[in-house]
Amino acid sequence: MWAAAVVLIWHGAMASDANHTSQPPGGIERAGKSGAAAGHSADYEWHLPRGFPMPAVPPDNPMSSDKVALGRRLFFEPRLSVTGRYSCASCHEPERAFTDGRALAVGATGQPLSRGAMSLINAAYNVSFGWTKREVVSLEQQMLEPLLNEHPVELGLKGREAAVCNMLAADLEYHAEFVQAFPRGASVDGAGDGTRANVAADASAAGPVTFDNLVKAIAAFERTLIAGDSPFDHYVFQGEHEALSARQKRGMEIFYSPRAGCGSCHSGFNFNGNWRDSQGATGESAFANNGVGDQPMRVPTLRNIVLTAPYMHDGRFKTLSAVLDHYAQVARQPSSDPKLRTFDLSPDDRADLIAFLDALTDSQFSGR
Amino acid sequence: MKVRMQVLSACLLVATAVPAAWSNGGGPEPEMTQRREQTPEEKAKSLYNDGVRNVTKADKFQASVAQLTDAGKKDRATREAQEYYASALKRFQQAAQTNPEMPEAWNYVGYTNRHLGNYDAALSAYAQALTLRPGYPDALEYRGEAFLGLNRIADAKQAYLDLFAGNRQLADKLLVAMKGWLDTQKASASADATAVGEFDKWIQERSTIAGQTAALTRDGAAASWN
Repeated sequence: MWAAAVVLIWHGAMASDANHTSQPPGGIERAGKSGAAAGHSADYEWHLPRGFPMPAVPPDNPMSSDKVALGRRLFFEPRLSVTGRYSCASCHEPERAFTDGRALAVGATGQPLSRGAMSLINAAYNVSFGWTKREVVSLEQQMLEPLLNEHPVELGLKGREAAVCNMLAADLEYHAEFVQAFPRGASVDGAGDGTRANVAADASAAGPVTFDNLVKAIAAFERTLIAGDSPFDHYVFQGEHEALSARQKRGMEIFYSPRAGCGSCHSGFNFNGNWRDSQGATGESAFANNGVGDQPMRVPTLRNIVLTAPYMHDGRFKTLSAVLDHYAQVARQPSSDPKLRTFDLSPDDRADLIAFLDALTDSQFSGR
Repeated sequence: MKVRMQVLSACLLVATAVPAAWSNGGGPEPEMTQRREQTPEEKAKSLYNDGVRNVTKADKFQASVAQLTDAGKKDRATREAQEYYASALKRFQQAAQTNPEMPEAWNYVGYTNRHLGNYDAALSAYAQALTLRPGYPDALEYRGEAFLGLNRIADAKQAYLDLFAGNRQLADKLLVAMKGWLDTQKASASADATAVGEFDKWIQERSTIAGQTAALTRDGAAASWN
């Protein structure tokens, strides 16, 4: 009883004065010298840019450096397709901020998809995945679509899961990498969640080379695709006040002004609204009707945006200038999102804003 | 004296023997009122809580100083504040001594030392708190203020940037302290005008950035979408 009283007083005092609370720090830990966030997650050390929170990692797919290395190799592996010539990287090229430069993505058999390939930059922080689906909430879950979709075919592995696993298991290097990444075999990270991948895993040979593990390894790699070393980051988080030009600073002012209101949709450190990190999600995934079609679309990140042309979910705009023209007028459409507003930009304003968007480019990033 | 102690000991023995006898007799067992000894962690927390009470009082007196116009009352309030800070410091030092692994206690050893003008001791204590809990936001902010007290502007700026990345509220608080420091320097004839001017420019730029980028934060993103 006495001990309990001590504890109660302790909490009482801690909470009694906001200026004197000493709560444990939140999700962001900062490393000493570089000022970058660092953290340990099982067998993996994150090196996060300053201002970036610790990503959320599913408990059934903990990070490890071996798993990330395997996932990276699988990401670029053309044998993970029905033709043997197409990989994840065919639509998500590192030098294009993990997009493909096409208006609409194209599957392994040449079938066009209905939308463009989304950037994978900072996908670790997404609340949901894909242009329209709020219910797809993990990279593991999302990846089943390109791997297994039939209408249209993307990578075209539906019905070939066991064959792919057998092929990888027969490759001595891959087998060794799977053993290292999943040292406890197929059940290493839990019994699965009833997704199609787990069903497929049952059909494959026992051991670590399972479809479920293949998906987990690629997802682990994708979580590491974090870009946050842009001039904007240097300016805002590193305190390098010369990192942005005068034009870019003016563009930043326009971006966050109520007049243009770009920052009200593209909020958050990742410029795509709410996010999910190790503390949980800040809210629902951001969707808005952008005046292109009837359906609300997920607000994409603007990081490395100059590398991801053409723009919008159907790639209808080849330049950022055309995108600005669209958003300056789109609020006139009754179906557009109420957050959108009409605005006028002088030629100088437009140049400033585009210069600012250019400052969101982490040019060192290439899926390291 | 010796006789008195013997009598007292005998009484205590009887008192502790009685419940045992009752128990042996099969009757209802009375509640034991024996106190167990506090662990070092509990003792440290208790001392810490005492310290916080003193700090709260000290801060109130300190805050009142700025509101008072009467010089005598100002002096009295300042003295009261200093006395409470000194009392609090003792408690926090005892807490940190009792449980050296308690970052909150070290943080307040720093805080109270700083208010007593012992900046170097304050910095040592903050360093200890930050060693025990890397990234501890309160310690980062308080340490930033201590750097200001020592005119270590480059270090204060770095403390601000560390906070800005993870705790905007405390970063804003440090920026307010920086502005206060600047006002004091501007009023001082001995201040280095160039250094003050540069810091003024830096503060203005950071204020602009902070104002523009509220939407970057967790709360900002949630406010725009939830």
